[in-house]
Amino acid sequence: MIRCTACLGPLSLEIFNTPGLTSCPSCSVLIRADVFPALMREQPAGTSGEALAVDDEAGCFFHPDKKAVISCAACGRFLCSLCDVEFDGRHLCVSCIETGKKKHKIKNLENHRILYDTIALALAIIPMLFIWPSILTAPAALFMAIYYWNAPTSIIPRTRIRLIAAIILAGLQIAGWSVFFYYLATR
Amino acid sequence: MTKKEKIYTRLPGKKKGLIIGINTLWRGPDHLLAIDSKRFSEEYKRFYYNDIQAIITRQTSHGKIYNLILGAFCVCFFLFASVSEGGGALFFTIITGVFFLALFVNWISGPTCVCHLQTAVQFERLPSLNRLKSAHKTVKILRPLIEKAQGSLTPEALEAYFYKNTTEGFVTPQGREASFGRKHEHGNFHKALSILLLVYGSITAINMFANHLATGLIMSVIGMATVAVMIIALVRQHESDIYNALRLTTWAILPFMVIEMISGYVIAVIVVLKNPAVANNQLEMVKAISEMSPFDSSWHFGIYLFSICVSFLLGIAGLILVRRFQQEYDQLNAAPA
Repeated sequence: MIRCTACLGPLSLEIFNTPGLTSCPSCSVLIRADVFPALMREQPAGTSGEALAVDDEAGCFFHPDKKAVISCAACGRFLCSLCDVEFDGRHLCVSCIETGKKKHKIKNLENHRILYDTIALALAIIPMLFIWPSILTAPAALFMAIYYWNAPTSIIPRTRIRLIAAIILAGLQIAGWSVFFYYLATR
Repeated sequence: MTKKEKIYTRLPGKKKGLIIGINTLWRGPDHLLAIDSKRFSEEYKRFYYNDIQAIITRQTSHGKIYNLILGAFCVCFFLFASVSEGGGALFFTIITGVFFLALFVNWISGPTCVCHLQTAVQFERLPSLNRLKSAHKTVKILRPLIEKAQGSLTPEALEAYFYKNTTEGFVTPQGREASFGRKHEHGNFHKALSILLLVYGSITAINMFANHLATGLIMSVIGMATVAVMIIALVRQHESDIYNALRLTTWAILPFMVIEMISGYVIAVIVVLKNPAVANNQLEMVKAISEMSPFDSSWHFGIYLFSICVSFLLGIAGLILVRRFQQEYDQLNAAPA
């Protein structure tokens, strides 16, 4: 059921798949609903796995009393229909998916990333405005930029320009402070 | 060195937060990626083309309200600039220019909207699609991709599905309350609030030309009554079936009343600084304030103008919206179910 997002009233047929906006029959707001065949698709019932008929049949690694239907594409363990997860065109077991998510090996499971390049650049720029904190933050920014050089950044296309800028700025600050302290020491 | 494969392509629409946070949408090979960027980290949500049931776009009145507010600020600061001299005039001209630029950008960006995406188990808002132009463009790009994954939907199949699954039919106001769990708000408090604002604006206009203790006191009493009724209206409109535009108009009164209170406080401080003797006598202070003519100072004059303009603007808008809402409710109520 498609509902109006303002009044939660059911939308009429005339509103679906029209090029422009149409008034909601309940609250009169202008609305457009683009619907697709998935709306009409019946949800498949969950499977519980078929029990072993004879003892020499291969059983599931996680449920030995269930019949194996496929092997995991990553670890090769036999899986019953309950444990088989089809993901990205591959049949995987739950533990491989869990490991893949933890180790960032399955990109499509990642839902959070820390942008170390942006942090390094911010660490190189913002304290510079207050001058003195940059004695500490410039080496920190330089370390961060080098340490996380190969770390994954954003999932969308991104260059290393932030890391390069952070290295240059932090390097310049360190050089500046070195000259300053050298001048103080030799004066 | 091999060139990195480009997986995602940026889709139209972007929503920037007040300080941090940018929401964008990206087109992937088999899914749509919604990115919520919080400056130093990113959150991702994926919607597979094969799972998308519907994309619902609803026009909102936010853009018009921003235009009204920005336009009101433009007019006020332009008036400030025209009555000020020297540096003050330059300052207010620059401020007017900034507000005018914001107004122009908002106007050029077109009408605002909210966009939701529905799957079998999700109903997610797509914050980046907050303008109709970008929402329509994005849907135009996504439709072939979704249809490639799911196949196309014939109008006959849609009609058959609709009549099979819809039992509610046309909804009467009573049905609306019952089926959506939203209470009906009669809008009387909103009407009272709009009337109070108009009275407040009128008294301010009278006080501007006929400065008197009595009008000053009436203004204060009506101001307090407006705040009280505004709080009741805000509470009553929560989770109610009231128009969104009316809801927003009521919310717009809140910052206006806050500005009014702050400006009143600033004027009181100025009076106390000028006459320290009245600091401990409330009545004397009110007398001293009411003796101040708005024509003596451009700032004071500007505050009066701002109060009058915004009171009338919000009051009239509120009254029109309440009237339309109540009329429509009565019509639907009278119509046979």
